[in-house]
Amino acid sequence: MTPSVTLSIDSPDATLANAGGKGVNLVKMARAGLPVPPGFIVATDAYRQFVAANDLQPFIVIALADTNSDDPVALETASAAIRGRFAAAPLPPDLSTAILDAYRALTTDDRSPVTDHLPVAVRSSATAEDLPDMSFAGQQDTFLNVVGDAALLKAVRDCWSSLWTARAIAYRARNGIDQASVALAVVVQAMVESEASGVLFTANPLTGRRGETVIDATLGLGEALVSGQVEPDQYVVDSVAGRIVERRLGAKALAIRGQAGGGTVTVENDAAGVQALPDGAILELARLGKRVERDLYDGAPQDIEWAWAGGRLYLLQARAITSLYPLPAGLAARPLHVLFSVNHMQGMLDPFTPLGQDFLIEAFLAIGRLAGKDFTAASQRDVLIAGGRIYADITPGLRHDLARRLVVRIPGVIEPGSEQALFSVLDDPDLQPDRSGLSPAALRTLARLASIVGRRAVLAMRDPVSQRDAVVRELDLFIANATRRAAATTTLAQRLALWQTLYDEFAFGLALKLLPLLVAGMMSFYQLRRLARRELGSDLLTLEIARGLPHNVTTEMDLTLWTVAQVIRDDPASAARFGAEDAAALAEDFRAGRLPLPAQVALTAFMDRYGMRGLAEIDLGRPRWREDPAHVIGVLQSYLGIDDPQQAPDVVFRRGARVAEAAIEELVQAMPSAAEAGLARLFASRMRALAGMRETPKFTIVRMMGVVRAMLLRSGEDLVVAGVLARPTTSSSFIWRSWRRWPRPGLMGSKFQPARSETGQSEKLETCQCVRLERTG
Amino acid sequence: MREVGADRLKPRHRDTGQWRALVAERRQVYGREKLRRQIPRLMLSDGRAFYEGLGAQVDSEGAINGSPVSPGVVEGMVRVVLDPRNAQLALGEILVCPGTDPSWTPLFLAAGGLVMEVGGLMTHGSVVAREYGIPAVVGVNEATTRLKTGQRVRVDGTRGRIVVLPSTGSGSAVVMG
Repeated sequence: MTPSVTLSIDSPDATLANAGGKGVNLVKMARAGLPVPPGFIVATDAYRQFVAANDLQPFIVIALADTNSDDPVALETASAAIRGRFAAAPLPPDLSTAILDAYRALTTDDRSPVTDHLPVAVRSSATAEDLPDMSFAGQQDTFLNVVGDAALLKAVRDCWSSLWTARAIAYRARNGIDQASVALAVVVQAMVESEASGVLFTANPLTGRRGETVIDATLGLGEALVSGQVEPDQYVVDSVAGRIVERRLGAKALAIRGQAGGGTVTVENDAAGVQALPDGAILELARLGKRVERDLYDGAPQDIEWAWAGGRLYLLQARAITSLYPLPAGLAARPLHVLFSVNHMQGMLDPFTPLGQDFLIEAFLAIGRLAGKDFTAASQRDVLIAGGRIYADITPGLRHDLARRLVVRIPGVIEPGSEQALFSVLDDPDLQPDRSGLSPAALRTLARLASIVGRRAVLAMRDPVSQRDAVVRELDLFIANATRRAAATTTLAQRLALWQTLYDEFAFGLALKLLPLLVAGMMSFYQLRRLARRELGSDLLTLEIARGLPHNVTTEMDLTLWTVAQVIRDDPASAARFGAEDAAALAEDFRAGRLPLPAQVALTAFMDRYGMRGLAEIDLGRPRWREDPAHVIGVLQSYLGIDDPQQAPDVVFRRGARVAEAAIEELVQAMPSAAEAGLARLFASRMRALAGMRETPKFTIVRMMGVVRAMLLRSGEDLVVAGVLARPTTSSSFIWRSWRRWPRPGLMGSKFQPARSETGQSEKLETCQCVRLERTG
Repeated sequence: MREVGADRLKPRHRDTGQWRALVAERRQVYGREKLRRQIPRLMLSDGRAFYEGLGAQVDSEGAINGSPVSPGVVEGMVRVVLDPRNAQLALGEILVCPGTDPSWTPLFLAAGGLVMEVGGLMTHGSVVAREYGIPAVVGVNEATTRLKTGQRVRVDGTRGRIVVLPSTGSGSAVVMG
């Protein structure tokens, strides 16, 4: 028998793959010297041997083939068929011998009470990790107070079988977990005949407060509580001060207790007035919980099952509280800080790739330099990452009484939902404003920048068209220059340096010219709303005035794409190909230059202008359209299906513009005096000229990202050639930050030039060797 | 030749394995986080998190509330879209999504109305919705889980309300104003 069939509860060899989640967490705790009941783990290999010995795998595959995971009846049928086979299949003799040997060793373990038949608890331990927002916990069976050899072997087999409940099958189907490769470990532990037991949360699961430990406790075994049959006691402990801050006694009307000879019995209790766990044990338990969280899980909040018997506490299970959103690493609870989601402001709820995070943090550092602050990615604490999303620490702004007035208004303009969240914390006594948040120097810098922007905004109000056109020309020049310089780079070090330079050129030069145009456009918009509300009692008309706005790059992009669709429609060969082939095949053809000429030319022109855009484009690590044109081609195909001429984007756009003109006239007519009518007309014309520029800053940044990404991809290809990365595109999104933060001369310099490079004979030689090494072994 | 190369490159080759392990680990973390659907808008350093957008509760008339950003009233079938790359919208369907960026814009052509979980008056999706004259309500708490594909709803982009209607089996949109 291989030793891997069972593992001791403190085995150094336990992994998620062989001991399952529950098993590996128990082993961690046991090895850290925490009070875990003695026991052993029946490893996943035992499950596999059982399945192999009884030839169950082909049966499982057949039973699940064609089973629709959305069809509960089919799932139940498949489940019943598989579990029927499990129940009838015998354990191979060497397997049962190994399990019973471990059971007997447990019986003579001096940590457990010596009896002929040690009562044990038998629990399933799944190898699938709990996912955020959802938990797989409790979906497999537990058997309590199992006594004797036959009962133990049956419980182990029943645990294995619980891998195939309809619910477990459906869960795996929904989450894309391969049904054929799943396996289950089983934890066998000496039964703790607990006087009290329950669940401990090392953070308050309702509010998220990390400084509070919440303990649910009931009498007898914890299963009554886990299965929701009793109303438990609840104790809240301030784990920083080590003090019980709340005690709520539950009815605890039922208790599950072990029965002599095996099994459990449910008894009725009249225990509403009894505190299930004494104060001393509550505090000790809270300390144990924090120890588990801090020492074993890097401070990630845990949900721990515990038992109390004979004056001793036992930990039965620990797992992460997956429903709690993670806090940024290294953020102290006090003094209180307010973190604001940048993702919501960007309308993007996906996490950022590491490269995307770096791009934004580095951009923030450039803004900091603009404001005269000199910090580094490591020293700054204003832009923080949590759960892959980006949060801004807005505490300094809230703590300063003048800045606060501005800060609380910003979210309302961009995302009212965020404003509501902000308003719900403004009254917190720890967030009251004084003058401490911002230094006088920082305020002076802000005032200086505001005056630059203000002066230029006045210019834009005076002469919007020429101001706007000048800035647009300058932006195009900036991108053209950046592209040219990027093409001239050959090493990773040069590329990272250029990336840095581009930020500063944009932040110091162009952003300060672009921003005033937006300020003028938005201010005009809000003035119009104010006038409309005053004279008409509603600002609906101003929303009409915002329709069909010119100079909006996103609208222009859409209209350009529509033009491409027209070219394809008008060319019979192109139209036939787009009508017959799927988007992925067409994308392949486009990349190979095999589309009919009119389509190839039109799409190439579109990609030259907009190919650096894409889904979640604000994340530099996400692919761009020019890397994967299938999305754009799919859109073109849907455009070709539009036969209602009234639905065509250009028609819709022109119609919107006419509606806007009419709305302006209506608003002007509603003004009480000629002077105010003139004012309304002025604001309307400024808004029409400038508000469309709203999409330009982001587009410019995305164009800049396109240059940076193309440049990094070239280094990515070099590294693939050198055998460091597996793929240039996606791998590099996950790795550049390491090179960036800890520059390594060996990788940054010219050594990783590909063989085609002309930079020098010795480098070529080394690269060749590198490549050969990768290919041969 | 291979022996010489292997000798010289030994330390670097070990590094290569480390880089790949790092990539694999980060990719796994990213993949796990991508499954998370509820993201706090605001967090406090003591761990408190605030998720809710507008209209977390239905109002007394059974409507879900949000921010009105593009006027008009429309009725249609809900289509919940999480990834625009493989979404097909039937003409007049109500596009319900977490948020949009320019890569979503082409979907607006077919949409009868728009509901987003995030956003405000000047957010990308709102701007484009006005451009196309599509009624839109944004900032709606958990819209992609509270509304289900195939449900019939009335989206009031003037008052910022969404009402789930009794299903009638008809899929066409009726613009009322």
